[in-house]
Amino acid sequence: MLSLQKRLGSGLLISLTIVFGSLWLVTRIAIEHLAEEYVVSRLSHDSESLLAAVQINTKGQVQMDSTHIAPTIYQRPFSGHYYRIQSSHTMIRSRSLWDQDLDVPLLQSGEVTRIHTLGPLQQHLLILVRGYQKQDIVISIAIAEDLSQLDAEIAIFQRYFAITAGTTLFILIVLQILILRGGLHPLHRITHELRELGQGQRHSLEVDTPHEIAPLVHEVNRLLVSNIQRVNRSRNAMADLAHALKRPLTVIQQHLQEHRKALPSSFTTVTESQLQNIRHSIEHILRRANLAGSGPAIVRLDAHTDIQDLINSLQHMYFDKQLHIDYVQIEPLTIAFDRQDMLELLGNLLDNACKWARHLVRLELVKNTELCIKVEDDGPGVADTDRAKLLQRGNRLDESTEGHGLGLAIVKDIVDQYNGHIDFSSSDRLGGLCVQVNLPIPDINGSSTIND
Amino acid sequence: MRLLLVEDDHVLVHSLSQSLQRAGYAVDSTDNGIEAEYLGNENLYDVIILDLGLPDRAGLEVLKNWRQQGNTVPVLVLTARNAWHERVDGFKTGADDYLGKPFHVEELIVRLNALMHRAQQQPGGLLHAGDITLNEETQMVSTADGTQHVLTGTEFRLLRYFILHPNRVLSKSILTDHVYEQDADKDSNVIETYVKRLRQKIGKSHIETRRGQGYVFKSGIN
Repeated sequence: MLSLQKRLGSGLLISLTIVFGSLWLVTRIAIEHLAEEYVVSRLSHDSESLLAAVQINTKGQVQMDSTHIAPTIYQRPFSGHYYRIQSSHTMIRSRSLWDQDLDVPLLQSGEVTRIHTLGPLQQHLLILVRGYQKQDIVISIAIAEDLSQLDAEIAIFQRYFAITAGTTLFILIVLQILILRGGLHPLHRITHELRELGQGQRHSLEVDTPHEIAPLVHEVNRLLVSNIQRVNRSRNAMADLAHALKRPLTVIQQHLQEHRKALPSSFTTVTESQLQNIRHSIEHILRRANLAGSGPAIVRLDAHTDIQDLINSLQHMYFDKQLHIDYVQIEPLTIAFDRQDMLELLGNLLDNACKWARHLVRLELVKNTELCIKVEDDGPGVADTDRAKLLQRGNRLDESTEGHGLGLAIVKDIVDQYNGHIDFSSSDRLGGLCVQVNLPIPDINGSSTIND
Repeated sequence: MRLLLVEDDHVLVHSLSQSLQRAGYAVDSTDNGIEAEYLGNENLYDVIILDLGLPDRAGLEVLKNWRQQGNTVPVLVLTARNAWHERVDGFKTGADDYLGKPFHVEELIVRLNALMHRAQQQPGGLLHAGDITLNEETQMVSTADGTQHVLTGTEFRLLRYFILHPNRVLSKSILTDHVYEQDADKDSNVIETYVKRLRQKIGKSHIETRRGQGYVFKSGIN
């Protein structure tokens, strides 16, 4: 979806442009109209003055009473003011026309017409032609004025108007961008906070927000709290259940061992294997139920300390093997995943590697678009054909090693929960098994960003 | 080796104590965290098995307090809470080993023995001291000529303590403390009898008597 800023911005831009464009157009038409009307009314007066000065002699010819023609503008050649009087027999042109003529029709009495045309010296002429009847003779008086000067002034006005309007438009657009930025700032902040939330750098959103989005923020915070509570409650309940179930199991197992000699071996074998089944099921189901899954991490894994602690723990557990566990971190990592889930994942992977390794285990973490976890050992490795079975071992309850197989089945659960995938190969570096887990990194800023 | 078992499930304590005693540990037990913390600081125990879900004071807190007070006694955490983050927290607090419930006693004992060796800078596997070799699993000792001697429970406990604490003076009361349980009938003269019997089996030269002080086990004698 288009960002809010772009949508509001383009909407305002378009409407402002339309408003200013039509304003400019209306003004232009109005001004031109006004100017023309003004000129026409003046020409109309002049036309009437000319009519008054027209004399009809006894032969029916039209004559000008020169005393009536006051303005010298009709005398000076190409002055821009012209007239032309025509009757059926005679035609009189103003001296200013010199050797030119005006191409106008002969009108009947009472008819009026306006003509825009090019006159002498390419002047833009407005000609008002009017038909009169004087002493039974039809006279058509055309009177013209050069509009070039007026046109130029109108053009200047329009240029100034366009410049002013354009500048105002520009200022308004800049202003609205600034206002939008300011107005959307709380949203930018929330986007930023959500990103931090996703990376586990914060546990809630700031509540100091405009009241339009305050309900959203409150709701998100409420959901976050209730999610954390739910996960914690469920984890605690699971831990209690585990505790409650494992205690009697331990006691039964103890008793069975103690009285082994007194009991028929078929009984102890069956009971022990069933106990083991229960134990594995409890372990498997509880651990799966405890997964937080991807999403805002409750407590984020610290890629340095937590993993180092885990390695120390494993070195304690496999003390007699004197294992060397190499931890390679290609670059400083921040991993936005739940600490418990990740320790469970890495713990089981490394535990499996330590179990089979002779001296060396190598853990490598690389983060690009995905988090890539690679665990290698220098143990005997697993044949290609058997690799597919690795993940099913937990279900088949292979009892050759204590707790064996369960670990990788849990790894598979975690990987599934995080929509990742797991691959087994042979380690080129160490010669044993190489387990590679890829987990997609949750990206909450994605397309929902309101950044440009 | 004297062991403190901190566990609030009495049925488990009962059966586990018997298995541990058979494996050569003098076992005392307590079912609550406050008493456990006090006992653990007595400087009497060679190893402690600690449950985490204790009444009165949580197991991890007890462990933390021991470590803060400079108590370095080896601690094996035995708990139903065995998710990896709980393990990591346990080791971080100062646990030396971690075993999830339910467990096999054999594994617990193997881990305890390994922990004992580690605490005394001894390698894993069989215990060697000069020409004698002690097998903790079978509780038999073999001497230079290859003869195997079966040891009684107390003889085994005593010899193992000697081998794990070689070349230092061990008074009768120390030996009594580490061989017998809290409520056992302690008569230090009994130790003399057992030392005499051990000498018959492994040779006189291994255990020297320091008059008025106690005994010294010589590890380098062939």
